[in-house]
Amino acid sequence: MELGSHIRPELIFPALDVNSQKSLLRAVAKRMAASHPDLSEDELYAKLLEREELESTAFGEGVAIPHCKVDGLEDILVAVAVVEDGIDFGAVDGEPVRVFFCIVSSAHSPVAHLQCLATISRWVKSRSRVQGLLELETADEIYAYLNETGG
Amino acid sequence: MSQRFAVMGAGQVGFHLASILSKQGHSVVVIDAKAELRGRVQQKLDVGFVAGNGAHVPVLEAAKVADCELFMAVSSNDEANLAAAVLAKRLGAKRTVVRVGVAQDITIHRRLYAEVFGIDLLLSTELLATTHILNHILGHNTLAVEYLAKGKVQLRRVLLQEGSVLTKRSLRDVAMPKGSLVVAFFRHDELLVPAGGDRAKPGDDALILCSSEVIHKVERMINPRLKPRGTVVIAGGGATAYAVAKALSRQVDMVKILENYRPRAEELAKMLPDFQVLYGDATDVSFLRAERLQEAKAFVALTGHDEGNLMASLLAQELGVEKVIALVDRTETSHLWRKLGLMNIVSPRLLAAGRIQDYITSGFSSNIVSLERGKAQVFERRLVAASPAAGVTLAEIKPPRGVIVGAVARGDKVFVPRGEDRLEVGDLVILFVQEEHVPMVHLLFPGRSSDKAIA
Repeated sequence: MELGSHIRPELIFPALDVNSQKSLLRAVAKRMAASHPDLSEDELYAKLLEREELESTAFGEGVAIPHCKVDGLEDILVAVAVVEDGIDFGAVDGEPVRVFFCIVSSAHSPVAHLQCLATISRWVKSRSRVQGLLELETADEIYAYLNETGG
Repeated sequence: MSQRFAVMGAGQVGFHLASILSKQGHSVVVIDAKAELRGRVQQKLDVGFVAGNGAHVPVLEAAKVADCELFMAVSSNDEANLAAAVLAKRLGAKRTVVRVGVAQDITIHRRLYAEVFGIDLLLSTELLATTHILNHILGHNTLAVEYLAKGKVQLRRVLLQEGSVLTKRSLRDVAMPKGSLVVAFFRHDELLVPAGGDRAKPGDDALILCSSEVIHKVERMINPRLKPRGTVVIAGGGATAYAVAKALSRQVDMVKILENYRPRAEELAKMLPDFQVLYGDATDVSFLRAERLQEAKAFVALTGHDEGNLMASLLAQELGVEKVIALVDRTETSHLWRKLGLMNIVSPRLLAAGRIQDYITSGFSSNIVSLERGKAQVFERRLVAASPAAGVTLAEIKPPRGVIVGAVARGDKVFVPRGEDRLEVGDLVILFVQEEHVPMVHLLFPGRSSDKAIA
C-alpha cells in the first residue's frame, strides 16, 4: 500500500494548536468528522481515546499513530497533524510527540486497517523522513512530500 | 565499582549473598528480625546490620535502602519479602529481588506478582529445586523456564549438546513437536533470531516456546542423551515431591512415592492415581528392599528432613540405585555427607543464592524474558476489539523477523499459529520481540501486561 493513497490535503494540519493528548484527539476527531458524512465527532473521539487508554500509540522519536475502527465507514481516512511544541503522549521513550498520523477505518476491514498501520509505521521509522516533514510549512507541501516519499 | 546492596534475611541465602558481595568490596547492609544474629553476621562479615522486620518502613529507612542498587528480600517469610520489596522500591531502591517458597505462585502468576509488587527478579526455591532435580534425573539441559499463559505455555532455555538434532539440521528441516517453536539461539550470550536455513552449534542455548503439554516431546527430541526410562522413587510426599512427581509423570515408566504419614499417603494416592504411593519409612532398609528399590533408575529424597533425606539417600546408594539425589536445606554438613560418598546434594537455598548472584553478575538482566540485557522481550497480550491484530491472519500481519507470534491461548487450547490462522478477540497471544520492534507490538497488540494475569 502506498502512503499517499489514503492522505488528503484537507486532512493535513501543519500547525495544530493543542496542548494535551485529549485536546489533540478532540481536534483531530472534529476535523475528520467534518470532512466525512459518515463520521460522528463524539464517537470518533471516544474510540480514539479508548485505544490510547489501552496503550499509547506513541511510536517513539516524537511520532504517534492514533487509530481506531468505526462502523459504517467505507474508506480509510488518514489525518496528519503537526504540533509545534510537542505534547506528552505517554511515549515509552518519554519524548514529546510532534507528528501525528491518525487512522480511521471500517470495523469490517481489519486487514486494510492493519496494513495502513504497518505502512505508516514503516514510513515513520526513518528519522530523517520525519525530520523532513517537520521542516515543511503548508498542507500542500506535506501532501506532496508524503506522496513523494511514501511509495 | 563499589555499589550498595541491601539483604533482608540473614538465613542461608542472605548470608551467602552478603558474604560474596561484601568480599567483592561492595557496601552491604543485612536486615533481619532476629537481633541476636547481629553478632554472628558482623563477626564473620564486613557488613552493616539492622535488626527488624524489613516489611516496616522505619527498618528499611534505618538500612538506607533508598540508595541501594539492589534490595534482596530473601527471608523465609514470603509475605514479608513481598511487602518489603514494594516498600523498598517506593523508598528508592533501584531494583528488587524476592524469594518465595511456593512454586505455583511463579509458574502461574509470576507476571502478576512481579507487576503488582514491582519485582525485578522473582524466584521460588521450590521451583529452582524441581528444575534442578529434573535436569539431573532426566538428563535435561534446561537452564531456565519462564511460565506464560498461566502455566499453559513455557519458554525454556536449553543448552544444546553435541549431537542434538538442532545442531545437525537446519531449523526448517527439524520437525518440532506440534505446539512448540524454536524462537531464538544464544551464542556466546548473543541473541540470534534464526531463519529457516539456520542451525545451532553445540554449546548454543536454544530458546523454545511450547505448550506445557508437549515439553517431554520437545526435550526428548532436542536432547541426544536422554536417560533411559525406568522407575523413579521419591521419598517424601510434600509440595516439592508432588511437583517433581507430576513433572516426571510422562517421562519415565513409573513413579513411586514413599510417604510415612498415612493420611498424606492416602491423599496423594487419590491426587496421583497413575503413580504408586506407598506408606512407609524411607530410612527403613527392609522397607526399601521389599519395594525393590535396587531396581529403580533414580531415587530422590524430598522428605522435608535433612537427616532423613541424607540417610535414605545413602541407603539407596548402598542398594545400588544409579542416580541418587538428596534435598538438603542446611548445607553446613554437606561436606561430611560427600565424604561418605553422597555426591548429589541439592540445596534450594544455595540454588537461589546462585541465581541471584548470576543476576547481579549479568548486570541485572533478570530472567529469560528480559533477555540478554534487553535485546528481546516476551509479551503476553489479550486481544480486544480495538486491537489492530484482531480478526487478521498471521500471514496478513506479516510480522518482521524480529517479531514472533509464538503461541496463542484460546480458551483451554494452546497452539503455535501458522500463516493461515486468524487471531481472534479474546485470544491470549504470546509474542517474542526483538528490542527494535517493540514499538510495533505496542501498536498492533496493545494492552497492559496485567491483562492476561488477571483475566
